[in-house]
Parts: sequence; C-alpha cells; structure tokens
Amino acid sequence: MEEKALCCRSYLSRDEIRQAIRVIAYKTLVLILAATGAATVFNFARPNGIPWSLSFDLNQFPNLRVHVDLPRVSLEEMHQRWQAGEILPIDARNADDFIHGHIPGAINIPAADAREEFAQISAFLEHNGTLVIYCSGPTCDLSDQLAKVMLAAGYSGMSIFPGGLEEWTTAGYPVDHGGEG
Amino acid sequence: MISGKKFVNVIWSLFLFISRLIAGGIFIYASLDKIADPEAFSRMVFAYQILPLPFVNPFSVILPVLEAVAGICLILGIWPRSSAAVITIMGGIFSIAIVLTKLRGLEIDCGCFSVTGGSQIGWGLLLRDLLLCAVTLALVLAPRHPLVLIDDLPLPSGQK
Repeated sequence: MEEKALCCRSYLSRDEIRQAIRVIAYKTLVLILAATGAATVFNFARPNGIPWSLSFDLNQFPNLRVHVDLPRVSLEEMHQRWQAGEILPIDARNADDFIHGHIPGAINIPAADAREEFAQISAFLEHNGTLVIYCSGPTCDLSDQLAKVMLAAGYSGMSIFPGGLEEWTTAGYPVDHGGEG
Repeated sequence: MISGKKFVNVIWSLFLFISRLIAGGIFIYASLDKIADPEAFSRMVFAYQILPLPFVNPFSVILPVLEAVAGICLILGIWPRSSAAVITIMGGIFSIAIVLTKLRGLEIDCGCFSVTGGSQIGWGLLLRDLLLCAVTLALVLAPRHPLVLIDDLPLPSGQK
C-alpha cells in the first residue's frame, strides 16, 4: 500500500525520524561552528577582544583565593633585604617550578605538601632569620596557602612577597636553577 | 465553522511561534551584555570553577555569539529546530553548571543576563532554565513550524 503523503498524516516513519535527527544534528553542528568562527574573528577584530588565555588577575576574586593577614613586601624591599642577607626566601611553588628557577638562597616548601612536611622543616626554619614567602606572581595564592599552614603551626613572623618570581625576574634580578629545595 | 482539529492546530502553531519569539528573545537579550564586555563575562565563567583555565576565555568569547546566533535564527525561522537544539544544549549545560555550583556551596552571580551581577545562583534559576529547555525541546521535536524563512526539515519534493 502506498504510504500516505507527509502532509496528510500525523506520524513519521522510523526512517523519516532517523533522517530528521541526522539533518537536525548536522545543522546544529553547522550553527555551532559558524558561531564559533564568527566569535573568533569578531574577538580578534574588536578593540576590547580578550586573549585566548586568561586575561585577568586572580586578586580580583577575594572569595576564591586564600588570603592571610600578613605583611606584604614590595619588590624593592625584598631585593634590599635579600642583598643584605636579612631574609630567607621561601618558594611555595611545586618542586618542578622551583628547579626551573627561583630566588637565590630560597628553600622550596610546596604549599600543596606543606601540611605533611611542615613538622620536618619547622626546626630548620627557626634558625633562619625572617621568612618571606613568594610564589609565581601576583595572580598566584600559593604563598598565602603556605602561610596559612605556617600560621596554624604557630609561626607568625613571616611576610609575603606578592610580586613573586614574575616581578623578580622582570626587574632583572638573579635567578638560580636546579636544587632540591 | 472551524473544526476542533483545526483549532488545536492553530493553537499549537501559535504556541510554537510565540515560544520561538520568547526563547529567541531571551537568548539575544542574554548575549548583549556578555558580548559588550567579554572580559567581565570571562570572570563570571571563571567564578563557576568548572572549566579548566585554558577553556575559560574561549568559552566566554564563543558562548554569547552562539546565544545571539541561535536566538536570531529561532526568531526569524532560519533552521528553527536546529537553533532550538542549540539553545536546548546550552540550557542543559547551564542547568548542570547551576547544580554543580549549588552542590559545592558557591555563592556567585549567575551571569545569565548581566556581567555586573545582581542575580545569584539558586534553585529558582534551575527551574527557569529547565522550563526553557522543555519549551525549546518541544520546538526541536515539532514536525512543522509556522512562519519559517529557511526550514531545516523541508518536506520531500512534491509534498506540501
């Protein structure tokens, strides 16, 4: 029996449904790709387009980052006191980052492991001047994370260098490589 | 006199058309602020803490344009089912994001219509989103759409 024309029946055959799903899926994908292309070109051409990587500062998210109430050290102060040998820089980044470059004389206490390792390193820290904690730069909060652990362990005489290695290297100050922290 | 079946068809067509206008309008309106200030929107996307960092900015650039394109196509009747499918997918993604955010106890702005805040994530928002998804899903599944510029499921040749 001849199938009734599509206009005159209230159902679709299984093949028609399958075909319809294929067509809709294909055209949905075309729409998504077209919008993606248009968005990319538009973002590139407009004056206030944003870079493909993150363009903002984590400092703008006080609710998302750890923040402890400790004195902050400027780049100049950090450099002066480091030159005078008054401080012990503590690098709060992970060991790989530390090996790739750190402030000379710094020791590495990765913030992620601080809770487990702190008992072993605390004795060493007590005999070394003023501690200044830093991490990669103004957008990272590892210094504050480590400071939080240290505060919980009873230390309070440290400060934080928020500019981190980013400001340090931008200023052209020396950097050491390697080491196990 | 108009028959019962014809009456239902007219009401259904009217529902489809009004739904297209509303859903399309909502998404076009939602895209405006995000397109105007992509950096502010990327902050809102970041605040959800769902996407890996490298995906935050590309998502923030593409999503508003996709909202606008889908909204315009839906209203004008250009591939109405496909544009409704795009909106349904986006609505589904938003719903998942809302649930994840609520479950993790984050108190953040939804970034739905404005990048300057004002509308917090909540279960009411999820309900609104799911309702919109249900309507756009109906638009995807509708066998025929009234007032269409370019249909995405043209009838086989020789049939009207």
